[in-house]
Amino acid sequence: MLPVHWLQLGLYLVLLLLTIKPLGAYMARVYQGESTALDRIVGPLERWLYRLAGINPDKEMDWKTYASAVLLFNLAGFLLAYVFQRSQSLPLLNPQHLGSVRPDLAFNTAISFVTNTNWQSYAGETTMSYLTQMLVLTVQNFVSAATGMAVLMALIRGLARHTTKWLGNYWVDMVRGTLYILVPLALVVSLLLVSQGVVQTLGPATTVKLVQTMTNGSGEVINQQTLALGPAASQVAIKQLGTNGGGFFNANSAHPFENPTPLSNLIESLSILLIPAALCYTFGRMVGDTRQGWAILSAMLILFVTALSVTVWSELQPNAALVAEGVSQIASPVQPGGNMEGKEVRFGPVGSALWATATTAASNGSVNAMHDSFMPLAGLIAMWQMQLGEVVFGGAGSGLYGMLAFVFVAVFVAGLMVGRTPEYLGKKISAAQMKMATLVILIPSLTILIGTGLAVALPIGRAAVGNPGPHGFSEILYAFTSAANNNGSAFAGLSPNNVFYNTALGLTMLLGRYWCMIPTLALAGSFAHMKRIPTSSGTLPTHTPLFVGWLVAVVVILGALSFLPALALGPIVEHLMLLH
Amino acid sequence: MQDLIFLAIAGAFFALTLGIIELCERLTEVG
Repeated sequence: MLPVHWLQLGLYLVLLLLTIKPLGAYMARVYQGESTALDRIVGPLERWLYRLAGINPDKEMDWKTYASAVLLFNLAGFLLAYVFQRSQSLPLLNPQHLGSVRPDLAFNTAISFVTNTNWQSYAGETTMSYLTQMLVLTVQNFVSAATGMAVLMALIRGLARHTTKWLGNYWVDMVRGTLYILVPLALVVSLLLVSQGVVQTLGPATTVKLVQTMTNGSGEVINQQTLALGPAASQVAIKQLGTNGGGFFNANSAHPFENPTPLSNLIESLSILLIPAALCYTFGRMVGDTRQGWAILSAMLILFVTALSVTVWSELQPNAALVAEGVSQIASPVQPGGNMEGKEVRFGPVGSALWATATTAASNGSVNAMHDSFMPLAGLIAMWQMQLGEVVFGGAGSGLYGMLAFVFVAVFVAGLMVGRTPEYLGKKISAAQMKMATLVILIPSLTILIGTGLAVALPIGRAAVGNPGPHGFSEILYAFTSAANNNGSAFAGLSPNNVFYNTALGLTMLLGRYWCMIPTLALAGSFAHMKRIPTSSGTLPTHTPLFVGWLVAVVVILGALSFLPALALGPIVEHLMLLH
Repeated sequence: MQDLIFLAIAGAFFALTLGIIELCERLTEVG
């Protein structure tokens, strides 16, 4: 590794750590209804929205009402997204005159954005009108992230409160999360990105003359190129901050109009983990013990830095197949060295590995390099981070509530091992809580393995594979892993824009999102109902390095047990084939 | 026709998930 690589990784981690406390404390104030610096600007709009929708912000909900509100709001979002795509041929903010989106693709895309996944079976610039991009996709980027954060807040309140059934008001949490956190952050990031050259225009695509003419396969001389434009910066900012990941352009953040400079790359990659990391501090503040938040953050950081180290090391290795051809892949003044296939020269292997680790640690899914071209071990790490359940930071809100499910399992198992009643933050973890936590952990795993098995067994599933053999299996496994954990990134070799994959992956995204949210809210309800048990000498401390290590072990063991056989058929065997 | 099929699939999923709320309530024994 060159000194610049260390500097790049170090700067990223330092900046991330510096933002955690101030942003986390601010988010705690927002969700606890305390005054903030934005009250004078946003407050009137917030109150107007409540009046318009007939919402009493002081009326709290029990877990069932909260869950029903989440589902109904998301169903409405799905219907709106579907109808808009199907009718986008109307001449409204559609300068390229793009036609209506096919039903199966509209189904997949509507689910994808409502569930915070942003899996894209389409190329943005040739499929979606500006109106669809702005009014459907970008809006869902905000509200889907706010929904994940709202569900987390309900769980935190369940842990923080006692002998009550009230968990807050979903509408208030959703509105405040959007207006006080996501919109201001997205505004700042959008402006920073525009300053770097990310496009933001309602003007049509433009045609430019090529500096150097080309000849296509039919012998025709090509001397001009169409440059897709559009309102990209406003979508890119929230796609990063809200752990959404759906690119305005097909190449996502590898596109020079979506991520043009090293600074825009730093801003965008930092934005991926900003909210999920800071929410750990928010959690600590809201349960009245910040050490608990730091402990969970430490576990996430241990997993993240380990994954980052393996990915960077793997991508800095020369590709053995190219070495055999005598191709130099050593760092020199003319090349960054390592595996440069599928990467932007601007970002190189380390910038690409950092992004890939962050985007799969969080359930973001945006890319600045093609994951299909990563070395097998780096591809394995990307998949495995998602397969852990997107708990290494994870999605906005969903990452932390997923990690808390692992915390409950870790506390329960530790309690069994030492023969004490398992409790966490003064709440007893009994069979009922374990059932819910187990559902949160197992539903994505089951969905991935069943979906992958089905796709591999069916000819239509295998026909979409770009590379036969173990890499092709990885492409399918990656697709279902990404969908079930609401990540949205892809091994781009798969061609999934057909009825089978659009339907199967659509259902996978729905199951991975809502069938984890409901048990989470049930957990919140059951914890809120309990009395708080006073801390005693028999209480397992959950803020110590020992517990952090135990939590990491539980996450790793459960992840390994669930997916090692599947990974052995894909990236592991591919790695061994590359070596020999 | 295809529109109806896909809308029905989504509608059925959300209806089923509302049922999952009841199931989770029974499993956690919380009123």
